Amino acid sequence: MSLRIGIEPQSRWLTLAAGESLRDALFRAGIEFPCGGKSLCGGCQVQLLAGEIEPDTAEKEYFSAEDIASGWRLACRLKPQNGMRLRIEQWQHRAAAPILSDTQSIEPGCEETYRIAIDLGTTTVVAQLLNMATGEVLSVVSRLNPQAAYGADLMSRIDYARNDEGFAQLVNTVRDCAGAMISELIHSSGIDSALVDRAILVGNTAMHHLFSGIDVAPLASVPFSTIHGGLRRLESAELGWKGVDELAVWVLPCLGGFVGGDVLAGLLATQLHRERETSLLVDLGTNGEIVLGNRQQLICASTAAGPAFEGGGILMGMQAAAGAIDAVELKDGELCCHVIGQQSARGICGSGLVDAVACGLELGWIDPSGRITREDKRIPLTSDVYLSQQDIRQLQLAKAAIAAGIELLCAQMAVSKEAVINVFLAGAFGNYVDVSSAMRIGLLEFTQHQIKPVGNTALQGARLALGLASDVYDEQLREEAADDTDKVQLPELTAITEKVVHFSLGESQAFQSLFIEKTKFPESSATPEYQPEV
Amino acid sequence: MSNLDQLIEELKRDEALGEVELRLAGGESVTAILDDCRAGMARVGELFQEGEYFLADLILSAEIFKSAAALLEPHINPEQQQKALGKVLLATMRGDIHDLGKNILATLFRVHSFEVHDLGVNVEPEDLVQEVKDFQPDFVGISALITTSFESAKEATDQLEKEGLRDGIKILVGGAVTTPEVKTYLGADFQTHDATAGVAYCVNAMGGC
Repeated sequence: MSLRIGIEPQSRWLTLAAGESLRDALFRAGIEFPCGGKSLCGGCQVQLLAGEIEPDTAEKEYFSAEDIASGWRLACRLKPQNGMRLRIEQWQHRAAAPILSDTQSIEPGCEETYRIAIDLGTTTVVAQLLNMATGEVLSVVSRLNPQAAYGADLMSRIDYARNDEGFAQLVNTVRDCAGAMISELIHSSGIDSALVDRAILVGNTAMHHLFSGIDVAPLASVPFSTIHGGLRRLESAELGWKGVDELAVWVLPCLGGFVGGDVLAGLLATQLHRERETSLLVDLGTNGEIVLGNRQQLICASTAAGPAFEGGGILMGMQAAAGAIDAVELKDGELCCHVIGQQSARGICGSGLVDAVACGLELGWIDPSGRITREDKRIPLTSDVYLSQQDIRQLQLAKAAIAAGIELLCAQMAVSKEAVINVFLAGAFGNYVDVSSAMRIGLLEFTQHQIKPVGNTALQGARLALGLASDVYDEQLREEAADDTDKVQLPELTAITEKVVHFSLGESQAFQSLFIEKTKFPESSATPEYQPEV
Repeated sequence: MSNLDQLIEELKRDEALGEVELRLAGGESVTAILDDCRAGMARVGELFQEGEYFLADLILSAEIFKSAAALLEPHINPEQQQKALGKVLLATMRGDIHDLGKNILATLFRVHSFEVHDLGVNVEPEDLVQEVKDFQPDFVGISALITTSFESAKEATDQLEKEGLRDGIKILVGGAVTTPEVKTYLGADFQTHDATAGVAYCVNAMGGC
């Protein structure tokens, strides 16, 4: 027996399969629980607008009688009932928008056209409409990637795409999403749809493939590489987009393995590939991506950090939403927690986790092996929120994956870490994490003056690429490439993609021992000395 | 009585190895010393399970054990040589190259006197089957961190069944992505995320303590 529940403020009805949990059903609809959903934190509070559901003991403990009477419940405890309606707007994320979608202009062009830049992220999709004549961003929209309903992380989506039906679902979902966003941008800005001639999409390799309709099976197993990661051009007509006039849609090429067009866009944004001196670009996420290089040489790698930086796999972990501890500092030997929104802490997000562990190390509550030295085996943060031993372990794995990846690329290029001029931190987490805490836990083994948070470089690069694509593409190339669109090239991008060498960390024995080594925390807060490779 | 087991438990490498040498010089039996080393390693395993110890600690303990075993080796008199408790074949199957967990498992098996043959990573199903014929293990351990390698594992277990090799062995699957469903899918005998539990299962199956 299936049943229906209503979700506000979206005013949507969800149909649940028999026995399906609320969490799964919401997820399927692209709505993620803000917390672990294990009745530990009260992070998933919802207001019942319609339906009679008795609170259970955990809920009675958590809420006041008044709250209960006005319908407050914990979503993780709720058994779905037919016809019930829930209000979930309190789950809204903190204003991540400024980082994810900065609206810096690009160089004005002379063409009287409008173009669209899309950052197709695993979690969030951001699209911007630009006036190419002025270079200004006219309008921005962002949405959760609706593919999340088929798997939160990339690997589970790749797994889901292994049968034809799942593959088609993922392809259509992401195409429909992009199409709807483009349509919204055009219509909300009131410009003539016929003046929009191009959209440029950037995403990781899996997003590149799924949007382009290319099989992702090669990404599911060793050596995790694909030969179809080139620049793609599709027509809006073949994408089945309604309400959008004829439009060329470009998908930027991948750099190798899991390192996709979003990282290529990052290079365009940071100009790392044009500098004489060597710089590093790091995107800290579930899949960490790293590029090291200069105008002569570029080397990239991806490294599986897991979800800890996003609060995933952490007992009281949650996204950076209201009620999350997002920063912790030491004041006179006492921990001071900053909580998002005007409320008490109910969990901790990635940036808070890194801070808390850095403070724990300073206080001696955590030793360099990661062991909690306190009797109670906890790092208490507020009266309700603490870190467990396993939480520290999760962070150790995540930071080791990144630190070992960076170290190995440096060794590969025979560059010392001191010689790296800039360490560009891309992505939301990289912008929210406190740099000195990241240094303290050994996530970034660099000095403060090297590290530069640079925002959403994927989107910045996509905007810059809007100007690039214009004069190079012609129909003849398209004809010649009809059988293999990989042959369609843009010289500016080709210059980069041909130079970049992808290094497969997983296949390197050196990586494994480095990884183990990097799970440890630095002994003291002094800047770690760089030890050259022997 | 010495505190060798405790020194190993506390990962005091130099002191532990010094103690081994001291006790050897004192004419103590290799078996008694080895037993203490194993007791220490068992504690390390427990502490790892409890979250007190982490990967680097586990690797360090394995190194200490290896060094201790190397010191003892020349003193083992052939008649005294302990018979291996059983034979274990380990592999990470085609499609997967992760072997951190498998390497830890191999060490733990060796600590518990198993003879271990490790085929490495990205192993073809036919190579596993061939090795079952050649090495004649009691246990086959399949390690996985990527779900796609389940397909090649399935090919291997089907082939073992087909060639009538399945009944003589116990198959274990382990690794972060494995679930009880994977155990059923592969027709395996045991599934775990925990190397210590895998070794305990085999010790038990061999009627050991």
